[in-house]
Amino acid sequence: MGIGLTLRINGKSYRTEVEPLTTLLEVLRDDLGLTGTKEGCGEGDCGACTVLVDGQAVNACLFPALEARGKEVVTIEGLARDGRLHPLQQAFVEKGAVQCGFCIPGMIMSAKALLDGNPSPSDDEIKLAIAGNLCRCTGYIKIIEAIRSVARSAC
Amino acid sequence: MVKNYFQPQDLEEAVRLLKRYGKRARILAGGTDLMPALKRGEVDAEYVISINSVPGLDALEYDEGRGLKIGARVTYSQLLSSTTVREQYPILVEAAQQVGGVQVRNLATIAGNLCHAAPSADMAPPLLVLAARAEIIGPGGSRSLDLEEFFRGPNRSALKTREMLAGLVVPALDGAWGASYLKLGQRSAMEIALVGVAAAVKKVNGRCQEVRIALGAVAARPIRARKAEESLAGKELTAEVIAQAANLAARSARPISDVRCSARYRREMVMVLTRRALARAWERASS
Repeated sequence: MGIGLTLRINGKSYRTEVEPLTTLLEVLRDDLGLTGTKEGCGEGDCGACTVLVDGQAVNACLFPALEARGKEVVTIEGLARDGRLHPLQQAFVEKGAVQCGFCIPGMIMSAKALLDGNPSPSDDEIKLAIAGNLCRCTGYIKIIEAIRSVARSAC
Repeated sequence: MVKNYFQPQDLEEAVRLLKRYGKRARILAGGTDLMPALKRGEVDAEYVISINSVPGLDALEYDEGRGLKIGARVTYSQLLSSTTVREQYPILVEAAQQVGGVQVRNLATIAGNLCHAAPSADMAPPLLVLAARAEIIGPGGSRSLDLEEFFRGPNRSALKTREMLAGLVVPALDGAWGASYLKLGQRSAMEIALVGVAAAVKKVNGRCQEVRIALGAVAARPIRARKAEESLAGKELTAEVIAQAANLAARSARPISDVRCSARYRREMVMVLTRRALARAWERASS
């Protein structure tokens, strides 16, 4: 028997049923059809499943769905507004930061968590913020450029 | 197969659940180790007791007399954002910032790292040289254990069935102490330690009055390098004295060869890292 659970995701309430060990990632992708969040390694190494829970970047593949009760979850689907891309999404497109694209939702969520707390990060801070996100196309330089272009200039 | 996921609302309820389900239950905090292990069937449990709703366990409190209290729910990110920890225990910052990426540090807890009891646990060597104590709670009450006694073997802690780690107490250090943790991984982020070395030195009148050295990932559990420590007693830590101690530390290591590197390399790196960690700790200790 499933356990009833109400989740707040991208500002909307969703009612679902989960098993004791269902992860937030499984709920997002399999129950709610929010497949923008990707599953890479499934064990917290690759960051493809990065979402924000109460503003903090976490690996949705490690996060027990039941722990998300009462919290605000933001996924990549929650960034665009009225058909317009979020500045980070726009920057990734313009800077050519997207290759195969699989790591990008996670990269953008990590970048958003960074910029929400630190609007003018240094390059080192950007690198540390995405240290938990692997890009197997290895296109890190343009990803860093894209994030830097959205960051507020410190001077 | 996990049948139930409990989210107790206070410590008494958590302890009651532990008492009722014993071996069939596992405590979950950050879940970064436990969730994949449960999913893969590597850890067998029927009940998960999440302590994430237990108030008080997220306490990170400092007092000049009692030292630093790290509750079982304190995450790496919480530790790293504490000004007190940055000022009083830079060695903990050095270790914590090398664990995982932001996403893991936002979930994973210091206590969980110790309970998992991996020989390579990054928080073990620094907490060993800080002489931390484990605060354990169970149906019979609470007990306090020297952290050195807490590690029993690979993935084996001193926790008995129906017991849980409630937190850690790290004694306060005065300015005469300096400490450092160095980690060697195959790259600088998201890595398991090939070797981790922590050193803490108390410098009084230019001499080493007290010293502790701990080694990670080079024995069945995190260990203290006692012979190396003894060789430093009462001495000024010159390059020669440090080199000799580093040799002794390497000899006390019992590394294995595995897919990441050879035992011989690990032993060699214990020597190198011990040398550097001691030099840095000595430098940080104001006379």
